Amino acid sequence: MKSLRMGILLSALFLLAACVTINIYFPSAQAEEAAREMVQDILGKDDAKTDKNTTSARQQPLPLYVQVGEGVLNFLVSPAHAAAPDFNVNTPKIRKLQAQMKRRNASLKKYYAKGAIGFTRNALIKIRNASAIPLKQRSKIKKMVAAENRNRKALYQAIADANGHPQWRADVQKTYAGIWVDEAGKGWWYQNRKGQWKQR
Amino acid sequence: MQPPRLIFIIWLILTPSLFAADRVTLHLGRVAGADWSAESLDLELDWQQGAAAAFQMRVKSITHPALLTPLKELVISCQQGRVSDHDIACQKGVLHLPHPLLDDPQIPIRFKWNSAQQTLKFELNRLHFAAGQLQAIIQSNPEGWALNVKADALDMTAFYNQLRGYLPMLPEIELSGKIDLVASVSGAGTVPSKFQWHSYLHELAFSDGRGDYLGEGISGSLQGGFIFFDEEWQGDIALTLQQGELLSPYLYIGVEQQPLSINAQLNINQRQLQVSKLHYNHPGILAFTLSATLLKQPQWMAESFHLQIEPFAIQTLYEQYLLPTLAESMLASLAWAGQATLALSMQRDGVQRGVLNLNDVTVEEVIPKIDETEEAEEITSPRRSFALYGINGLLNWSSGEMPADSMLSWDGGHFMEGITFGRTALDLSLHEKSITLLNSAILPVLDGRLVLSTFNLVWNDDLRFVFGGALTAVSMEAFSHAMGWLPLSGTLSGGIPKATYQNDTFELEGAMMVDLFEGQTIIQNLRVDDPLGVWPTLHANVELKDLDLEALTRTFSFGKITGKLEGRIKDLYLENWQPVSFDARFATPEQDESRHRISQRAIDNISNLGGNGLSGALSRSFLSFFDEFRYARLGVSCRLENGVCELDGVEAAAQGSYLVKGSGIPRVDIVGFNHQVDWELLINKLTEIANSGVGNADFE
Repeated sequence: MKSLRMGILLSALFLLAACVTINIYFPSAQAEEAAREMVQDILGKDDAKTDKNTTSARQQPLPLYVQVGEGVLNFLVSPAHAAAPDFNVNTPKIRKLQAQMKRRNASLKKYYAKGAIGFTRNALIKIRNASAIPLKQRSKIKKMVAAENRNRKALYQAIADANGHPQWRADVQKTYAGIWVDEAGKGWWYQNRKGQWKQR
Repeated sequence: MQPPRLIFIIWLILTPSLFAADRVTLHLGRVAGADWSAESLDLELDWQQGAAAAFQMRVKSITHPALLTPLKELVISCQQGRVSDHDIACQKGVLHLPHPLLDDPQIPIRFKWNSAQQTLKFELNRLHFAAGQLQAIIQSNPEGWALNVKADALDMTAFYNQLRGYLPMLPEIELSGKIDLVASVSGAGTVPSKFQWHSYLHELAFSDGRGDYLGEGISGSLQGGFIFFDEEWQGDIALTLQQGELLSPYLYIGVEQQPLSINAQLNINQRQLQVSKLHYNHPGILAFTLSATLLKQPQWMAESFHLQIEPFAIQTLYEQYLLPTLAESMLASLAWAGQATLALSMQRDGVQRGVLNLNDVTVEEVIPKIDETEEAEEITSPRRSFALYGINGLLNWSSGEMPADSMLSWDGGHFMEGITFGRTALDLSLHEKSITLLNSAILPVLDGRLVLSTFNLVWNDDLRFVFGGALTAVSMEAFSHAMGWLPLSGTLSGGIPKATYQNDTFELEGAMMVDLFEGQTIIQNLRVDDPLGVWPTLHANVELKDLDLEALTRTFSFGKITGKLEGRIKDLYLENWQPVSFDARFATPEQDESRHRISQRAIDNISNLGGNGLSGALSRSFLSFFDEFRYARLGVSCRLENGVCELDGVEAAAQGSYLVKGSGIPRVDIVGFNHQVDWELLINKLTEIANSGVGNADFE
C-alpha cells in the first residue's frame, strides 16, 4: 500500500515535471527599472508621470494563486528556462535610438497632450485624431510618427539582440507597452488591452 | 422614324376636329432629329380650347450630344401646352426624370418646338441636384445646339458621392464644401465645339483615403473656356484661391492674405497637351512661368518644358512651402536669407538644363520648432550647427550635354559652432547627378587652410561625396578652443588622400598629422557616423611620438615634468563626441636620453589622480624642500570600457604598478594601487586641475 502511494506521488511529480518545458517569463519589477528610466528620459521628466505612489494595475501585487503558481514553477522550471530580458543592457545602438527618440519627443509631446497621438497597446504610437493637428503640421507629424515607430521597433529588437535572444523582441515590446502607458502624462491617450482608447 | 411619317403624325395631331375626340394616344416609336433621337415615344393629348392643350409624353430614352449618357424612362407632363401647325410649346410642365444624379425626379419645365424652323428651346428649372438647385436651358436649331447651366450652392459631398455612383472609376476621396457654377456647352451635330464655365468654390475640403493629399477651407474661383478648332481644343483656364490650405507629402500651400492665382493657355488634342503660358503667382512667396508639351504615350509624359522662377526669397519659400512637410532630416532645421532665381528646361531631344542664381544667401542650422506657440524645446544634446553666409553663385546644371562652368563662393561660415570657414570660391561642373570641382580651391579653416584638390559629389539614391587635399597649419589652440576642449598647443596638418562621406558616414583614408607638444600625433582610420545627426559616433586610432612633457604639462598647468612621451590610443570610440571606449598607453620611450625631472606639484597631482598615493606622506617630510626629482620612467595605461578605466602604470610594483619610477637620491616613486577608476571622476579631476592652474593635490 505504501509503495502504491509512493508510486502515485512519483507519477504526479513526473506529470508535473513533464510540464516544465513551457517557457514562462516573469520579468520582475526590478528588471524593468532600466526600461522605465529610459522611457522617463525620452518623455522628459517634467512631462512623464513621476508620482511613484500611484501604482498601475500592472504593478499591483500578483494574486496569491499566481504567486503560488510562480513559486511552484520556479521550483520546477530550471532558472535557465525562466530567464527574462535584461533591460540594463546598453549598446551604442540603444543609446543612439534613445537620443533620437528624446529629440523627437520635443515635437511630439504637445500632440500627446492634445490627444492627437496616442500610445498603442503594442508599445508604438498612432495618430488617433488627425484633426487635432493643424493641416500645416500634419504631414510632418505623420512622418515623425512613422519614424518614432521605426525607432521603437528597432529599440525593442536591439534590447532583445543585446540579451543574445533576438526572439525576445515580443517580450521586450510587451514590457515596454505597459511602461509607456505608466509614464504617459496626465490627459494623454493610450490603448487598453482590448485596443480601446482611454485617457490617463 | 422617317420624316414623311413624322409629318403625317403631326398632321394627325393638328387636325383634331376630323376625329372629334377629346383624348388621343399615339405610339410614335422612334423620333429623331439631326443630332438627337427619342426611342419609344408615346404621346397622349388632352384637347382643350383652341390650340391650348395638355399632353403627356413618355419616352424610353433620349440621346443628345449635350447629355453624357442617354436619359431613360422620362415622362413630360404639360398642363399648359399649345399645339399648332408649326409648333409645340409648353408653358408649364413637369418632367419626371428618374436619374441617380437627381435628388428629386420631378422637374418643372418649359419648352417650345418649332417644326418649320426646326428650333427647340427646353428649360429645366429648379432641378434638385446635389443638395442644391440647378437651372438648365437646352437650345437647338439646324445649325447647332447649346446647353446653359446655372447651379447654386451644390454640395460637393453629395455631388461627388452621386457622381461616383454614376462613374465608379473616379477615385475615392472625401470632398466637402459648396460650389456655384455657370456653364455653357454648344456644338453642332454630335460634337460639342465650345464650352466655358465659371465656378466659385466655398470652403472646399478634400482628403484622399490615406490622408496624404489634403485641402481645407479652400475658397476661390475656377473659370475657363475652350473651343474646338483645327482638330484640337484651345482655350484658357484660370484659378484664383482667396483662402485655403493644400497639403501633399512634400509641399504645403497656405493662402492667407494675398490670393494665389494660376492661369494658363492650353491646346489639347488626341496626342498632346500644350501648355503655352502658365503663370503661377503667389504674391510674396513664389511666381513662375511654365510652358510645356506633354505627349500621350499612353501615359502623359513631358516632351519639353521651360520653367522660369522669378527672383524669390529663399527663407519665405522654404518656410511657407517646404518646411511644413520636412521632418527627420537636417533639412527640417535650416534658416535662410537671401534671394535666388531658377530656370529649368527640357528640350525635345531630352537635353535638360537648370540655372540657379544665388544672391547673398545665408544658410544656418537651427533647432527645429514646431510653431510659434511651441514652448522652448529641450535640447537633448549639445547644439552643433553649421552655417555658411554670403553665398553667391551661378550654377549651371545639365543632363545630356556638357554644362557651362559653375561658380560658387561664400564669405564665411562655421561648423560645430566653433570651427570657422573663411572666404572661398569654387569652380564647379554640375553634370547629370554629380558636382565636380574643376580647379583646386583654398578653404580657410580657423587660422589654417584646407586645400581642396579634388571634390566630387554624386547623388543617386543617397548622397555621396569624396574629396582629397591637405590641411595645413591649423593651430591646436584655435582647434581645441573651437571644440571646447582643454587648450592645446601645436598645429594640425596632414594630407588627405581621400575623404569619403556616404550613408551618413564620414571616413578618412590616410593619416592626419598633428604637431602637438613638439612631437607628432598621427590619427588614422578616422570614421565618423552620423556627423550631423543626433548621436554622432567617432572611431579612430591615434599614435603619439616624441611628445615633450614640459610643453604638455605647461599647457595643462599640471606641474612641471621634463622628458619625452610616446603612446597610442587604440580603438578610440566617441559617442556624441565623448569617449566611450579606448585602449590607451603613454610612457617614457625606451632609451630616452632626455632630461627626466618631475616637480613636487606634478607628483602631487599624479598621486592624487591615482587615488591613494604616497605623496601626501612624502610631501610632509624633508622631500618638500626639493622642487623637483629625477625619474627613470613614467607612464600610464587606461583601458576604458563601461565608464571604468582599467588603470595601470609603466611597470609592475610589489603592490600595484609604478606611474612614476624615480631614480637617484632623493628618489620618489608613485605607485598606483587601484586599477579600476571611474572615468567620469578622473576627467572631472583632470579638468579641475587644468582649470585651477595650481592643481588640487591633497597635502594633508
